[in-house]
Amino acid sequence: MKNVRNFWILSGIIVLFNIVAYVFIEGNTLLIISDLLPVVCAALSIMGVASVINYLKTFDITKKVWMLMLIGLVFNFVAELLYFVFEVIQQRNMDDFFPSYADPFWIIGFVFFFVSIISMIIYYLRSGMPHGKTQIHLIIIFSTIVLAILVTNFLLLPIARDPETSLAQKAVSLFYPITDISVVCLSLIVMYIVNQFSNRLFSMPWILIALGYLFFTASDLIYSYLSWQDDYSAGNFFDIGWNAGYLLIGLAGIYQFNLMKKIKEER
Amino acid sequence: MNAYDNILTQKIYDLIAPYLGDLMAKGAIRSQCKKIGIDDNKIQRHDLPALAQNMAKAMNLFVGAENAEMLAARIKTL
Repeated sequence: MKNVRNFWILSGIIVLFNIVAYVFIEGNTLLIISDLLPVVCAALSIMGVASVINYLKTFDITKKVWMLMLIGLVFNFVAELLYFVFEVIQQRNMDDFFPSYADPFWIIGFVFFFVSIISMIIYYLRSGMPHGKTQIHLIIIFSTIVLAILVTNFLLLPIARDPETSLAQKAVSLFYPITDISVVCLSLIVMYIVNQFSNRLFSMPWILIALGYLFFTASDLIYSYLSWQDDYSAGNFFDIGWNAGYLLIGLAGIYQFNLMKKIKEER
Repeated sequence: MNAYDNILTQKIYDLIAPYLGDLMAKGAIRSQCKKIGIDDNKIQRHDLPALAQNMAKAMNLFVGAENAEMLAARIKTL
């Protein structure tokens, strides 16, 4: 699956199927679909990113950045698989099982994503390539601070003050939104930097990665809010954000692979 | 229409502009020249190896080391 068009078509089919399932299917079947699709999407994203790593022969910063992303995806894949096993195979009630054994894998996976994206930004800023307008960077940072204040006020503080929530639940519920906000900031900076390239083929991988992280963030924030309210159950419509995030990161890998192949062939 | 009066700068621009686009290519040439302490319109042949090496480092993240080295080799032989 190294063809961009085929990956787009497959991603479209998966997202469409996901929407149709949420609208028309209920009960145990929806639960199975809802828990199985993230496993499939994470596996597809691993395939996409692995194609880049396989192509890069030299172990340098580029390979490191993609490798960190791949490790993050593998941890997420394991987490999705564990969640599927607990909820569908073992039929555990995940509302009473939070944080689950899957959460440490998501948390470790996130650390790898974070290091990957920050390594990319630091390397880019040091490379001597144009950084873009400082005002735009400041606007992004300012917007993130505003978002952080809103999230703190409406989500973090209420969770932290909730006497019915255990310490472990609080820690995990707070981890996702806090770290997600930092990733939003980094993703927006990446999007701004690569948007300066007028050649879309060049900027597409990083735009897709940034979009993928933004989808993860949106779903994580809603998840944290709903699970704190005890309103989360598998088969929520916003779960689609995680699936779309995986597929976009997988697509980024396919774009990067094709870009490098195209340049090599043009030599 | 040429973007630069200096032939070498123009040739580097012609080489990287298809990948980076006009704005980023000009920005990259300007910043890489600044890094080695020269004016982007006064590039001389003996500046090319250092410029090529820096340009390769900058492009590496987007195209991989192999392609970036290929680009550097082409700049060095301009």
